[in-house]
Amino acid sequence: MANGRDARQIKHIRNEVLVALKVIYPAAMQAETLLRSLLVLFPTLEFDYLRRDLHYLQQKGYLERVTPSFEPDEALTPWRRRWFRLTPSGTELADHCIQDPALEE
Amino acid sequence: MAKSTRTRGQRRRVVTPGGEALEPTAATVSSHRARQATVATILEQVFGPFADMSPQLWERRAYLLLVGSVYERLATNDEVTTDELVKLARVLAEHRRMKHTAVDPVDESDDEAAQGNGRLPNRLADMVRDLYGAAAESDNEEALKKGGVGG
Repeated sequence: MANGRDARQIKHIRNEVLVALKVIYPAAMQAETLLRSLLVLFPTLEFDYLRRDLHYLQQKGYLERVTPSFEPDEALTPWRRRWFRLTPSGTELADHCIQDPALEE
Repeated sequence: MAKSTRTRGQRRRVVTPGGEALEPTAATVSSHRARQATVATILEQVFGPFADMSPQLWERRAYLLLVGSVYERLATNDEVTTDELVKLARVLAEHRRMKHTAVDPVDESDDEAAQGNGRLPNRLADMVRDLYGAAAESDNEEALKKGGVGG
């Protein structure tokens, strides 16, 4: 268990993030939009958990942040308004071209 | 008195009467994914293929589409119910409000619109002209003042 979530649920949510971003690749999506979409599947999902998952996927190199030109200081942009898109590795994972044991359900 | 050993996260979890945490079924997941794919297809068809875009471009294209749609309905004298018109106006007003609260620098035309003097901001008029090759109402007023229309 990690913060009230079990490993299966964590993996499930992370995979759904990849799926959601895959359909619009190479475009990006805002974290808030992602959350709303995921709430259909996970009604109890809280943004703080999603933020951690986004951070994790970003650190693994599967997601990258897209910073619009009108953001003067990207560090000050609230997480909910941050845009993310899949990296090439993230796309390969979402397309099942590569595997990551940490995300296998 | 017994203390709860549950963590904060656990307390917030919604459980079924049987005590199981809500997990989506395979059918729900499949249907959600199909819906996402459909949405992506619609977006692609309406806005063109997804590109390695800058996010602000999406917003602008959506705005142009909306303005185009409002213009088309009004220009062709298509029947627009008051309800529809109110909704469209609200969407546009919300968009403008969003732009004002954004960190994007505000230009003078936006200020003019915010003051509610009833004129279309210059940029909007330009966009309508670019899209349809026609002048927006505010431009016609300008032209009339200068005696440039039909004369």
